Amino acid sequence: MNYIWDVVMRIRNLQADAADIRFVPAETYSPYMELSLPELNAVLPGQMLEINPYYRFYDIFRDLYAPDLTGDEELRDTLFDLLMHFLAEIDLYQGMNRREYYIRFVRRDIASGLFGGRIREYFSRLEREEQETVAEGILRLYETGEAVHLFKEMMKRLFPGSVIYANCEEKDELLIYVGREEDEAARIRVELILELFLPPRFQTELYWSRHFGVLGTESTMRMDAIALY
Amino acid sequence: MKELVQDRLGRMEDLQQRQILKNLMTGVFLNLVEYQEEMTRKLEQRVFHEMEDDGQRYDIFVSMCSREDFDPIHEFLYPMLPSDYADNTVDMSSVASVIREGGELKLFGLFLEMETGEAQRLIQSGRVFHGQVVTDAGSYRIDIRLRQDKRYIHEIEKLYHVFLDNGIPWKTVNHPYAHKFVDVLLTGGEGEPGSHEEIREITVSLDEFDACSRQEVIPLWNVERLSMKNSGFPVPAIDRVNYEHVLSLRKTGVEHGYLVRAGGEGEVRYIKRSEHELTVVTPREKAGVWEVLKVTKPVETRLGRQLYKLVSNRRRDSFTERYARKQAMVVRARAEIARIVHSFEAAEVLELEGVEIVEPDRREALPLTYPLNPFVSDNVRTEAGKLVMRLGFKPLAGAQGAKSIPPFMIGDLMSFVVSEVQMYFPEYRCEGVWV
Repeated sequence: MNYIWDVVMRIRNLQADAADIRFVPAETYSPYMELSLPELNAVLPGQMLEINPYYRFYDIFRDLYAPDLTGDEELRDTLFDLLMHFLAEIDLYQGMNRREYYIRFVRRDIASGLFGGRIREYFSRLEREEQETVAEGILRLYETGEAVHLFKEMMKRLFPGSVIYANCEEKDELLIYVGREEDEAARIRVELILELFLPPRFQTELYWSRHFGVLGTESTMRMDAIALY
Repeated sequence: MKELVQDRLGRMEDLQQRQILKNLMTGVFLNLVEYQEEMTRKLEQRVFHEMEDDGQRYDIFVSMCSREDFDPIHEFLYPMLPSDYADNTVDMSSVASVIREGGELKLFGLFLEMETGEAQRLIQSGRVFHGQVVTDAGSYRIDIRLRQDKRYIHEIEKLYHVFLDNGIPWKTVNHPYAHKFVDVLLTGGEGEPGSHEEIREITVSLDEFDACSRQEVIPLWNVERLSMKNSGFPVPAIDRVNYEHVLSLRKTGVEHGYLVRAGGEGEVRYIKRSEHELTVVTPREKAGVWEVLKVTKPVETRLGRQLYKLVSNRRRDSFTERYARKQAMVVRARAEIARIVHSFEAAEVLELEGVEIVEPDRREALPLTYPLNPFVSDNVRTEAGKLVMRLGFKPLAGAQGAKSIPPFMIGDLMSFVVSEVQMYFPEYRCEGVWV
């Protein structure tokens, strides 16, 4: 972690409120770093974080902690904390671009039920990261029209161990090996991807943790662990 | 940010310093924060509005009312056929001649307040009903038959062609009422009424269907027929063959959609719409009157009489909707079907449960839905041998407004949604079913 926005992002990912973090100006710090943490990557809610304010924001803070300035310490510290939060908030918009906005809009559309109540329900149970992935997939779906390709990609992203076999010779069938134990969370994710990205003419066959046997591929031919096709 | 400021101020122990900081915060800082947030919000809106959309100008709203409740100065609803408003009387001499010699004569129209499929079956059964003609000289028993009244469907078809002529993409008109109108045909009777007798009353009975037949109702929509004159003289276009006729829209309202109805083949080359004007480019050199259809934007009416439920083919304005329209790609995923279905305001009482592709010969029952765009033909594929895309729906009970949808209309709403999906998936024949 290098910057204050790193901290805010991390706290948000932990589903905590950024307001729990208190920024304080560091007593001793490296002039080449904004964050000076005793442990490099550990940030927890409720923590005091020492910041080198002059790394990026020299112009803003140069007069707040002049060496001959004493007194009103509490005021200056609180002001510092508030300004840092404000700056971090602005920082978060650094990487914003049109595409990111579009992804945001799509997430909002799904959440408002544009694709129906069931998809809204499933979507709301995904992690934030996964929601972004799915929303981005929807955008690409409309750009490329490649539904099957995106279906495979979404499966790979949400279930890294999954394998999809296509049986397109006699019938349009997809065999999906998810690669993890079946539970409710996994089922919701698979359902959601099926409902969104699969073209209607495909039939699907789901395999959860057990693969069907493929001759010659040893890892699929273990005793007592072979599913039947 | 506001809570954060409050929280931090509350934690300060030195009250004097707290006071100073509080003044600082309320004086400058919070305003700064608000300004920043406002700007971010505006930026987001600008990105959203980059995806333009003026499709909503051409949304068609329909409803019905009884003839006596018809409001000629309604804000946005006009009769689909102006002739509906006129009272049409039946000529006794022709009634008499039909009773004597046979033949067919339209007595009046009826609206059947029932499922469209049921109405179709009733019409196709060719069942004969009875009634009475009462004249000043006596009463006569008559035989009647029902025939579908296709005038309103034809009116929608005409509108489709006007849309095409104006270069506006067609959206299926959601008209749950249009398919339920029937003509009552006199096919014969008993007795010998003279041609001089005056009709006092004609009564017919549809037996068990009497409860759902309504007389004297007229369908309404938000399409107004206007005659508009050029403002000024036609302007020549550079090719010296065509002229630009400019119709000013200031008087009739710039927020509405306008369609020019071309008089004949080749009369209109193309039509341009700008914010305040409609420009017709045509070989016609003389200024004159143009027949214009104004698609009126609906307004909230405070003072209104009891109408049948107002329905429309309006879509919810969403980003994905605009984005999808911008892309030229055909999307074949289930998401697209779900999006089409759920983007309609009219579909708020329906939930798409599943999509199935079935062989045409494995069909279990007759489809519940009927096509609303029979006049839009897919010129590439033949109808025969198409796979069937079966869309399974579930009525959504808890939805807002679900209660106000009368049961005889819900099948029509489903047909509307299915017809719209059909436009996107011409390689299948789409059907709707309940699951």
